[in-house]
Amino acid sequence: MPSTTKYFISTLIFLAASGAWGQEKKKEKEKVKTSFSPTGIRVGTDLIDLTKNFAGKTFKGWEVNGDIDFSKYYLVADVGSWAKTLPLSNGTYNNGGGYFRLGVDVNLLGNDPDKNMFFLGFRVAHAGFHESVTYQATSTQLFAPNPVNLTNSHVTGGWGELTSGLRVKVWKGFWMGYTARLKLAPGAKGGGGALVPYDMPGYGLIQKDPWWGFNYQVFWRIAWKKDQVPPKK
Amino acid sequence: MKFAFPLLFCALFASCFNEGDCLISATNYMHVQFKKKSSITVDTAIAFTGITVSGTDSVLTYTATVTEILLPIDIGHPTTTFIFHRINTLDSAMVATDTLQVQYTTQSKIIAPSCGAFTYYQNLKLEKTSLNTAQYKVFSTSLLKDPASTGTAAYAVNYQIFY
Repeated sequence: MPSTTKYFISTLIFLAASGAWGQEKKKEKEKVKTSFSPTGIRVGTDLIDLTKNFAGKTFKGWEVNGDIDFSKYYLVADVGSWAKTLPLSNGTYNNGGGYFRLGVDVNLLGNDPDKNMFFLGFRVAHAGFHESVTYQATSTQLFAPNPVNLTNSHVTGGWGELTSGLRVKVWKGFWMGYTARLKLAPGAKGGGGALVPYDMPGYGLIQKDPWWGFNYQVFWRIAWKKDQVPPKK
Repeated sequence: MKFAFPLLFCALFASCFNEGDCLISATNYMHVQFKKKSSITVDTAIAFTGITVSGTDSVLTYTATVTEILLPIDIGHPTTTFIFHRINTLDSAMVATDTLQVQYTTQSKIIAPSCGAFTYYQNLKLEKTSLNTAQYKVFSTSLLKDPASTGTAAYAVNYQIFY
């Protein structure tokens, strides 16, 4: 065998071996990267809802948000309550009830060691509420105004959401951020038909499809495990 | 140029808060057209001394012949009875008295806080009538008005009566 051929074969074996070693190293890295074991829970609230309680007399409500990390994926749950008193041009509308959302966010920054996020996600939401309206029905001819007083005592509804937002670590376990929501496909049932459901807690005006929402949130994170994020190259 | 993005942002969100115009299609008027019995697509002019409406002491009066009328239903009750006192268009002699009793359900909708809540009358049904079944035809079972139009034509046709 000529020496050049020997040299060529030796080089191939070396490259193949080093390639295999490189693959092993890559696999190890991937193993660390794809650890889906959750490392902590982040619990927060919406500051806009809290501010609205003090800003006017038409809204009373709160919302609590939480997420758990599974690498760059976050399981998200929100629970909230709202009650509205809206003066109408010919009467008054009231509602009150609770809602929850469940969904997943994908961190586009990857598995960030500080749990900072720029995310896209989705939610499935459910609400249960009651509502009532009082107004004067009028006739343009012959008949006197007729007072109308209607109540939907138990309405249930649901909708979907596409979400995007930010979470930024500000200090130790404290994060701030926002969530923008595109709310879709609202549905409500159980009203009885005499009053068309108007405002669904967590969604807003049912006749608006799609509708939008925005939360400005603060979070506190309780970690139970140190994150295994591979060192950067 | 540097203000272009903030302006666009404001315009985008302002449009979200814009409640728009109050376009109300609710009405308590029932639209009735009169057609010839011999040719049901042709209008026929009818004269009345008056139309009595239940739930009120007032009587609707007409000084001229009409080919279609708007009848107000009683907003406080689930039925309204109309009695047509029909007269001959030539000599004003009494021809007949026709009775129509309609039944309906109501549904309330809130359009917007600035517009208010409105009652929609639906499932209109001719409960009792002195007319025979070949003498009338049912069209829309809801009382609706096109908010962009005016006049009798703005109201959905509910019944055609053939004389």
